[in-house]
Amino acid sequence: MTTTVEPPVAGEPAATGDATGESIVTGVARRSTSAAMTTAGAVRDVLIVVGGAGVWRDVALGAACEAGDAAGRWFGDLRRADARRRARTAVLAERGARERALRRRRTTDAVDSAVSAVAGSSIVNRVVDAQIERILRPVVLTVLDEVLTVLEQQPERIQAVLHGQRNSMVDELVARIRAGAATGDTAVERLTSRMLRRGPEPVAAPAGDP
Amino acid sequence: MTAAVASRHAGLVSRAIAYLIDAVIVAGFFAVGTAVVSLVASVVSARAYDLTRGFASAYLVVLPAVLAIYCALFWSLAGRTPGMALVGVRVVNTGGRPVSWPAALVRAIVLAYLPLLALWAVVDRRHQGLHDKLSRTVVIQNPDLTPAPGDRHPARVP
Repeated sequence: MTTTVEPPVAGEPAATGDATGESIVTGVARRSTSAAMTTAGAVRDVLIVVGGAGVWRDVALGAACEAGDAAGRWFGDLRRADARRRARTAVLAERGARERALRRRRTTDAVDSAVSAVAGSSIVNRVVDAQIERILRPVVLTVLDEVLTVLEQQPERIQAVLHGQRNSMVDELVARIRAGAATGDTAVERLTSRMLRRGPEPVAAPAGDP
Repeated sequence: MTAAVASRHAGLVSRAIAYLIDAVIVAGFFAVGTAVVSLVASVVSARAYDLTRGFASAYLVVLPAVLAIYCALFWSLAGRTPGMALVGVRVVNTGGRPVSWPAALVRAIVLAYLPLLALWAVVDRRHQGLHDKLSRTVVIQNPDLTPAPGDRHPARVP
């Protein structure tokens, strides 16, 4: 680090400094410190050489302006550093997402290929056929024989089921027709009663069986 | 045996549905019967085939006659046609007794050839059409079969 302090001039803040370093934040802090030291040295030299109340005021004003400029530069550097950090983070996140999707797709393809290879292998086919022959086929044949035996010995059971199903379907259809007709009758009766302004319908004579 | 039950007069919609069902049944049987007879007559002789074709072409006169016979038979024997049984209505005389043969025949002929006269039931308090007035009959609902409006699950069909 190299700091150069020039002789101050009365009424004019003079302090320059440059900083280099690995971190921008550290550099900015060092530059601020350097500027403050430069300003303090200049003020001391001016007081020694010139002296007086007017000079004091100008020196104070110049020191304040220099400090403001240094702080502004410091905050600007901070903002730029933060923006660079955010951009770098976004790039890394995008790269990570891309890599993760790629690995997931590769994993899925590998699993599918493995499953296809296993399912299509002749050994597995022979194992499955053997299990079907050993377990499933006897069970199906046994159950089917039992069902056929029950139907042969007790046909009225399945007949009763079919008969009940048919009757319930017919009953449902007739009930729907009658309900619709009764609803239509009521609607027509209400309409004609309103139009003709007549009273309630007389009760029919008791019906007898023919 | 006479089972006296309080009944409501059947409305126009129920009667129209029953009439349509009966008309479809009669028309179907008439068409099938005419086709069969025509087929047989065409085999027997040309003269019989011509007679059958003339009979079929006069369906505007013959079909109502068949419908009238159908209705008169069912009304006098059972008090209702298959269509009326499906809808749940029946025909009785104004005293609540079964319909006699002459009344059933008059009612059936008037209804078959002049069905528009039945529209008088719209304005009549007992829902009697002019054929009902002539034959002194009424159409009533079977209270144990006909559901109340909105009831979708009435009593079971006997």
